[in-house]
Amino acid sequence: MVPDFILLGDSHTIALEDAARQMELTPAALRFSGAAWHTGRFIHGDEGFVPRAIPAGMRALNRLRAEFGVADVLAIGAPILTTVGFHLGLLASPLGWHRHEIFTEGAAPQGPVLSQAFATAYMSHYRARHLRTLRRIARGARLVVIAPPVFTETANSFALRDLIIAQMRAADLTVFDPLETLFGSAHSLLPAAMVAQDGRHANADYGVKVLQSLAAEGILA
Amino acid sequence: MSDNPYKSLPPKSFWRTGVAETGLFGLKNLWRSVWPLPQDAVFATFGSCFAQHISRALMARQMNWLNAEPAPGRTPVELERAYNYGVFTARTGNIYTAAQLLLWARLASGAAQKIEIWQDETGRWHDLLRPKIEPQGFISRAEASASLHGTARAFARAIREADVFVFTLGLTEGWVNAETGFAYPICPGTGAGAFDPAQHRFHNYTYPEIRADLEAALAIMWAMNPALKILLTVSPVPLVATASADHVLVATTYSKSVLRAVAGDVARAHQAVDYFPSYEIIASPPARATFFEPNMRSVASDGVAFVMRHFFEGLDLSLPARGTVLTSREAELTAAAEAEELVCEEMILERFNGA
Repeated sequence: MVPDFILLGDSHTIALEDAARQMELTPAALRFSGAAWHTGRFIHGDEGFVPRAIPAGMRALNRLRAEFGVADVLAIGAPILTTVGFHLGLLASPLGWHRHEIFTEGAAPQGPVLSQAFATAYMSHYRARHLRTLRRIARGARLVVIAPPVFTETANSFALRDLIIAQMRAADLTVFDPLETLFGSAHSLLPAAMVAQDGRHANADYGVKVLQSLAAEGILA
Repeated sequence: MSDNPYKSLPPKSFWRTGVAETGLFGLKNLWRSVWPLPQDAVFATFGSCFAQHISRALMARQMNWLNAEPAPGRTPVELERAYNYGVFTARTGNIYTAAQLLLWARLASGAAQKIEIWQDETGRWHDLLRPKIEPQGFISRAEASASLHGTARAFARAIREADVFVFTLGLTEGWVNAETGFAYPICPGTGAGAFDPAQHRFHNYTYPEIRADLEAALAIMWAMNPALKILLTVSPVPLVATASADHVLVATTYSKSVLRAVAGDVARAHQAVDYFPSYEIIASPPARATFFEPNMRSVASDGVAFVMRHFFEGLDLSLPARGTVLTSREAELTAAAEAEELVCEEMILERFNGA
């Protein structure tokens, strides 16, 4: 049976999966850690998307392969909601080692300033592979990138998020930004009521809002 | 023969014993630092192209070369290079003249300075104090200004945190804005900016002007760090071109002579200033142009190594180390990111819990 949609990504897909089950939808999930995504441990080739050297990822893939009876589980005709390409904490952390701030209009930086051009080049170095892979997947499936929410305003988190979204949209990927669409600003923090207990992820209530919005826009049935 | 002062001078004081008989590779005692320094002395380096060799040599010896404006953590090497990180202690680009050094010192001290920011035909912006600092320029005037002031803060940090500020003087020739007096590092129109003969004036700085600018810069720097030592050197690299109407060989000799005279006199005038003879080592007659590449301008790597050998032989690091460690937030932030990842990993693993 083809699932209502496939979740591809990191732990930020959990809120969407929990929401789907609350809404009595049937999602499938292929997820592994942000660290593994960040280091690019995956390929997309003749057998579709395959995690590399990630036992948990391979187990999840093999379960889906067995369930759907295909090697390329992302090509079974279900829409794909993905959080791949962000993993902001791992990207932003080294930028903070020397207190760099990505330039934003109106800000008054106190430390070293990174130009948007540098930040884009830096981000591209670490996310070019993700972008290529998402574009390849998008050629064979309806793919929507769900930009992850932001929980606390740390240096460069919004700036990096903006750059990644811009690059994805420039590459003709469909990007849904819940912060902009649901909460009025791409630079808003997730409301406390939508934050999971760990403080670092959204909860199912957030997930429901996202899925309802996607349905309203015709992105999900 | 009666007594005279020359009788008691050492062999290095005589050309025959100090130069002719030793040969180039036997030259000794060309320089001895006037100051004892701690073993972990912190060095800042700025100046013309030749100054880059000094920073590389310090890093190669794992000495405390201050990088006051490092690239962000985990920046790929090719990106560092493209955006001019790690060349000088701050991302100033080349500082060729004393006038530019004075401008940087004023910026570092917080004094407002009018810096030209120019828009190219693609709509990108460039600050004309660091015209080539970013390969594509900046997206807006505000971004160019913010970046420049970030570098000014790093320059201030260099002044405050270094024990020794090494400055390589490069040129006497420059271009200035006739109205504002702004000293361009390169002629507008040769790499960035658009040349306007009504606005842009050639100026070949004279000894009094260079000395005045250098002294003014040092005064600002010492107001920020009274203990700062200054090591001056003159680049042995000839001019690539002269706008003086003289032959470039003649113009080069003028430039280097004036710079050498200023550097020597300023060193004599201040206990906190010393002069290192990199110019003499490469460009004086005993060297017979041995260390120049076939273009008679670039200094070969052997020459750089030869210069730095004399530098390190003359450096006096006899004072005890103070335990100076140049730090970053790497450990703290890496630990925080790893802790966050651990939470995410655990959440994912818990999904497989069938209980």
